[in-house]
Amino acid sequence: MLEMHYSERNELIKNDFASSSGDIGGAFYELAKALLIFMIIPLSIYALISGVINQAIASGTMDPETIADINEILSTAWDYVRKFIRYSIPMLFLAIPIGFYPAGNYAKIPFRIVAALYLAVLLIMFTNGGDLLVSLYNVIDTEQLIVDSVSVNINIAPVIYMMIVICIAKAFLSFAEFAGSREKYLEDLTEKQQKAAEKKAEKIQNEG
Amino acid sequence: MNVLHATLKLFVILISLSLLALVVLAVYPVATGGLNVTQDEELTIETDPTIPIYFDITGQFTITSTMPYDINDVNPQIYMESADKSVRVDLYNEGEFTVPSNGSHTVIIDTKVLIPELLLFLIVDNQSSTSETGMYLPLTVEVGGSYMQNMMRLDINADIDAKVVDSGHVENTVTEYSGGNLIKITCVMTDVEGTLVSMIPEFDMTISDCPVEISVTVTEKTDGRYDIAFIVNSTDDSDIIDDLNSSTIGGMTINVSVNGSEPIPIFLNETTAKGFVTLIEKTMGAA
Repeated sequence: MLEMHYSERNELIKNDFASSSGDIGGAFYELAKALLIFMIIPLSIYALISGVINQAIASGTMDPETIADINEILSTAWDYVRKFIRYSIPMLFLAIPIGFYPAGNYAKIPFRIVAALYLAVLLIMFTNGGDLLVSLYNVIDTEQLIVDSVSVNINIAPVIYMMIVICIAKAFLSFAEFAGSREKYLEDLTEKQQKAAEKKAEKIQNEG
Repeated sequence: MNVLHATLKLFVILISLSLLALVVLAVYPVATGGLNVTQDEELTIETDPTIPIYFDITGQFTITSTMPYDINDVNPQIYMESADKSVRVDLYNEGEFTVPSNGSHTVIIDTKVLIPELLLFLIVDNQSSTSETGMYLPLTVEVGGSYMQNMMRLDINADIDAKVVDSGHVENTVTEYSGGNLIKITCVMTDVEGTLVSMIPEFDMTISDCPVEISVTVTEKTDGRYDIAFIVNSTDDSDIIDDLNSSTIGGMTINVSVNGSEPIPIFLNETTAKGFVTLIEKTMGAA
């Protein structure tokens, strides 16, 4: 009896991973959401800031030294945007199976856990473990004072650690989501299978 | 979505939002002028009246904060540092303090700089100077502090060259040898002009238990400019650098006679003494 129970469950899990259990539309939706969060929003924020600054530069009210400083800061900001997008690429790939498998499906859990854990890794990598360093060179060059370099080091490690805890909590959320949606998923699946069987029977009948 | 999932999701969202709100609320006052620094007493540099071999740097600032949290472990430092970072002389380093939330902290600057060390920094760091460019002092300014119960820390470090001599330049350093031993180093700064330079006295220095004499001669020219010579001389033809290095162990006592006055003994601890000797060695890089 117990053996049968396990075999049934294994069969169910195996079916969950089958491509027929997924939804292409969901995969596209989740991918679009990830693209928005990890690429379009950072690029838009950068474009907005650099656009406003470039407009201010074009108005001709800034002196060349200030423009050079601002351009250096913008270049550093662009490096950070590129770094964020580069590190986010795995999140885009993970978004596809997360969206493809519906809630309540076993297959969704590992991808959700990996995505949540990778988000924690991304935070560590992007913020260099919560230690952000910005260096500027030739900041001021006047006759009386030359500021060769200024380095600003921001350490927000405790904040990053708290965010990592939130990411881990998000990983556990996938189990809660599974438990909460499993019944509905199985009902939907049964309904879907019934419809498919009916369609098949109808087709055979028509052919006959 | 069941109640458990919804509750947990809400919990995670609330924690994320609280963290974001905490950071924004804590940092926002900085952007809106939550920190203000006022100068109570102007920064002045004068020759020490009791031991005129030192410059006295004095000044007073008040840091006022209207921020919601204390700023802890604030440690402003100003120091002169050689390009290869081997020699460092602190100009201001009073240790860490706290700027309380909605309060203020007064920073009192009262520091002494040994004039020979300052001269050596000028010689070493301005070897490519010309009369037109003047001479700069290599300074490093550091300031840092923790905020929000040490959840955030900011450290700023700036490498600065401050112009202290309006015009003038360092001439090539001349070295003299006898029997393979370095017995004399002569460094000259020519046509120097500037408030700081006009305060430099003439002095002679002997080092206890060391056959080395150091003298600084200041020659005022008719155009108001100065020639300053820094001469290190061996009294027994032994190697200057070897003698100086061996006399740094455990610290060094220098006896300074300013403008021909009675010598005043000044003790330099081992680190300061080693830094002093390293700077003397570095002057030869000007050759």
